[in-house]
Amino acid sequence: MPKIKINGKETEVAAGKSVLQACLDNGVFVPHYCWHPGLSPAGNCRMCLVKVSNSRKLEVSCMYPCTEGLEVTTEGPEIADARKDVLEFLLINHPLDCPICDKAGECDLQDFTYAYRQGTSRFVEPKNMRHTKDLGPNIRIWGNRCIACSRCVRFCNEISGTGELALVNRGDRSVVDVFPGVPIDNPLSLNVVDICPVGALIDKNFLYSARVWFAQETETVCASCSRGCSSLLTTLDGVIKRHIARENPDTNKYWMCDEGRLNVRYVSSDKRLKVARGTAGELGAAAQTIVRKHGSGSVAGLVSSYQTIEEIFLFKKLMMALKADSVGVLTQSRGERRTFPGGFVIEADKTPNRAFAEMALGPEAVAQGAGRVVADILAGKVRGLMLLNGIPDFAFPTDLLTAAEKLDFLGVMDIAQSPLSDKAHVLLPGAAWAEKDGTFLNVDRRVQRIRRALPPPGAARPEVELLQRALIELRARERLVSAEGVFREVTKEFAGFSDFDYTDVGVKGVALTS
Amino acid sequence: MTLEFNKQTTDELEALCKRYPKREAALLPALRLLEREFGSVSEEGMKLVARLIGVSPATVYGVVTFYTHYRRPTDGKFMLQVCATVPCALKGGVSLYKHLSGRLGITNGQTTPDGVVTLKKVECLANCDNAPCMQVNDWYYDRLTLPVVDGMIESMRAGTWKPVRMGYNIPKHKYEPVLLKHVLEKDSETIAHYLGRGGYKAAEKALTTLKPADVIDIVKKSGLRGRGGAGFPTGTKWSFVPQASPKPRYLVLNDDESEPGTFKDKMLTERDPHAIIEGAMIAAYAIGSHDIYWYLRGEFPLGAKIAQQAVDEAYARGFLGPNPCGTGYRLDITVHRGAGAYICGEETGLLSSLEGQRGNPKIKPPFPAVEGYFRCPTIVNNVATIASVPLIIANGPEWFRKWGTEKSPGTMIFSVSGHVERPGLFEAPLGIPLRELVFDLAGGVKGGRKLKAVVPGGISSGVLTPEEIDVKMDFDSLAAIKSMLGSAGVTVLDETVCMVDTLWNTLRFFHHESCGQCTPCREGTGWLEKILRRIENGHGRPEDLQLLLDICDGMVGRTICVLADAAAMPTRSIVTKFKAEFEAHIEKKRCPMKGAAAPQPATAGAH
Repeated sequence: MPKIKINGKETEVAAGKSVLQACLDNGVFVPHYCWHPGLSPAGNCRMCLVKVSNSRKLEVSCMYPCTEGLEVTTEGPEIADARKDVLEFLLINHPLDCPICDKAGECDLQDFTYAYRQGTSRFVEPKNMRHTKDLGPNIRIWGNRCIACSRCVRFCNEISGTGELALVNRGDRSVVDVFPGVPIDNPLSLNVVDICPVGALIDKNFLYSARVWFAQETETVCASCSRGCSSLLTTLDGVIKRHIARENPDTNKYWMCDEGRLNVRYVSSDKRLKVARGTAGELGAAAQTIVRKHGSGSVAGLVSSYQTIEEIFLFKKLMMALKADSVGVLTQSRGERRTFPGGFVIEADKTPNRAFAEMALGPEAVAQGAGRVVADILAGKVRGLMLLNGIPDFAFPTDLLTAAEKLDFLGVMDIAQSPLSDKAHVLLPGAAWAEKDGTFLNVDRRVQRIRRALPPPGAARPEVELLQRALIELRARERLVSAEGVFREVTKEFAGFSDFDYTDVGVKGVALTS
Repeated sequence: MTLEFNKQTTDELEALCKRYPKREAALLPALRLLEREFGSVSEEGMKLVARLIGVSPATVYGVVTFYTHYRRPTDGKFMLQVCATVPCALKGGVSLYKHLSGRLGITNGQTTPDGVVTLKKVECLANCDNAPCMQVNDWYYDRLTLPVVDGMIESMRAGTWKPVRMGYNIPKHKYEPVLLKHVLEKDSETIAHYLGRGGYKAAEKALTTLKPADVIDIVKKSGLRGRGGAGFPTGTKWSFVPQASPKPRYLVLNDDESEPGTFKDKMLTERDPHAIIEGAMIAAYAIGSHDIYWYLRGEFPLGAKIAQQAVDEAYARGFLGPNPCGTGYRLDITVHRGAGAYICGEETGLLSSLEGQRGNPKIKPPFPAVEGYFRCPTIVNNVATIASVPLIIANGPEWFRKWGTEKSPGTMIFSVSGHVERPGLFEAPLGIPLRELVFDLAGGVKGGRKLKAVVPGGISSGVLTPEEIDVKMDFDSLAAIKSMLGSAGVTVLDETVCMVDTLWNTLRFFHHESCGQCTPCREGTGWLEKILRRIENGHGRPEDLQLLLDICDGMVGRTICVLADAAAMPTRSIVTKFKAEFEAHIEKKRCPMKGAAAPQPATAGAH
């Protein structure tokens, strides 16, 4: 572990780290474009120049190794001049079209230029022109904005392993492109938009849809598979504008899949339920009537592993209050678990909370519970069913649809219209993932938080509220608390949750204690 | 349409792939095979190569567009590549291009409607003593005149065109040649000729009687410095190879001669390839390498053919292969052709290219001797350096020190071009005065005109004024006056030359050749060129002179390799030493020399 000095302050650095990494780890920011913590270094943008004691010249910190006794200076007139020179060079052929650039407001080219006060240009020559075109179904390039940093090319070579992008041509004609007729269309493609330090690569789904400085950003977790990538949800005027990756070394590093980014569209789908039939109290009362009439075991429950820890916990309480012995879990899997060359994983399980469903209701309930509930309905044992589903565009098993015909009572909490919501005696619209607070337990048994980014539509309410109201109606609960309050109850009942609270879970989640 | 290689090409490719540590390294040769079989590099062809090499089509596309040499499907039957870089421009290369452009009715990169001719304006072809020159398909044409090119166009259209092999210029002078001693002898490129003059004895001596460390020691003692441009002591470079490393080691011969004004390596390759092979055997033995790659410029098809023939001969005689000189020390040489990129003459750019990538230079340290080809210890040596090694081993280090100075021993092959009476190659001791080289050896300024400037070491070097030409032609003397010996490409400019135009031409070269990785070089070379174009065309502003120098300040020492410095050095020297010419352009709002003396090719000539 070499000791180095950064701006006079001594620090110990892990062997093999670059000077830039050491600076960033120690809270000393050094501006950079081409370097990205998740990619191999390239050393081409020349922005991260610093002074090191081993060299007369300024050196790029991203590729300079930390050796014992190295003294690094990150600021000073010589360094500032060099960075100003780089910025001037970067801007001479840049279109400066910030007013219509989607990256504006979160662009390193804007920010560093502002920081180094580069207000005027000495460049009076005609600018180079490069292509503006689609590179794939979701990505468009503004070549004139490209600074040829090669981050996107390295991503496709090192992380997705798909290699669709290359820098083509030479010198100041260089620009990112795809092979003619071979678009960038891999499951991780939109990461290149996240990591583009300028506005060259743009997500067509986000194009011209929001000025980021007017939008809100919510730190949440993607619910599209059981990995639970940390993510950032951008909303404006109550509408989701985009869903992008957020750094988390323990789950997704810096990446996220396109499916996770794009399937948030279901939140604003036309099929969302906005009108209730009945209340949570009536839901509880109606179910209790069945139990009184037909005895314990006559009401069963189905809950999806798309629901939060808090919701599954309360659903279990509701089932206990209704003396149910048949509880099943609705899940959704698709394809195989896929590991990419860079280590990124997309799980086959397309729900975010299967791990907690197994913990709370037992592996059997997850594996065979739903089938058993159907069988019990068909056998006439179960007369009433409580359904809590939040899986987007869920295809209910046909035998369940058939069996539902036989029920005396069907209570449904769901987010979108379905054959079962049509049949429900009591129907309570629920809140989608983006509309509520809660936690998921991911495939690695890591508790992670989702946060409310927008209100649920119409009469829809977060299910923690609906379930608590039903429990209060059944006198199985005294008062209504927040999702955080419910979580505190969960931690008392389930091993591994220790005495975590929402603060402990934080924005990066926390692993269950064994 | 999906393309497939025929059986022969497929076998050839498979054999080629085995010669490289990784399959992807065979990308450039595979593209050559594609061109050979299908006539051009098409999109379908790139897909085929991508599939066979095991990289993505986009990677192949990035590589193909980095280099300038691959033939496109739309290119004509004859590819006319007219050199327009400084040494040729001085002799009318630009005017020749314009003449052809007018006559054919096409501009740069275009093809005549009948599909016969494609015209390209290209950068230096390393044939500067025969300026103006052009390359037609694989063939060089020297000292062109307008009637000759007109006749060539006619014969191409009539289908009667035949290639003509051109000659070499090695004027006789007072110094006895060492490296160039035999190059003009008949069949000097054959192994029979080479053996007849004692060839391969030095290799035998080194491999059978000397330890690798002894060889390094002898080369160190000789003081041999790299002939490719940097002048780094060769023996010292060899000693940087980590002895304990378990990784394979590589020797790479840099025959990517592309510094405008330099044409010595082409001569050695075409006329004395066995000297290079023998030197490579000794060098590889010294550094513990078994695998040698001979990287030739894409523009040297004849050189590549001769190099391959020589390598084949050396295999046949057992100098290469599993048992050279009965020692069991395996030695393999693979001839590898580039595809048109100046930057591949830079050793790390060359290694990237040899790995099958765009020729982007790599950050040093680590230096190639420690981490080079595919991150293994690698020594990259210029072929003229390598060709000196057998002589040093055969005759001893003291013999080598008979010539030159204490710090720059030996002879140097000076390439002299431009406005001199006798352009050509002059082998002379390092340290001779530039004045002697120009006025004595090369016969002085052509036509008795006045000297205006001399480029002493390829166009990357700082330009010298007539007052500075008493400088000694060695590494340190030139460095002391902020220029460099470089690859010893000496270009002489007479009083008719416009220095603004010359700098514009120089910067057009660097703009064209910058790999585009590093911001200051990618943007700076283009910016400099655009300013020069503006000044030359009468739109200069007084503040441009300071701006040019400021841009240079932002480039020098701020990039991965020294191409940015190479563009800045001539800019700084010309702007400061010939300031009055810039001011005249700006004041008069035009080039004061234009029209009067734009260099023209001869209207009639000897061919």
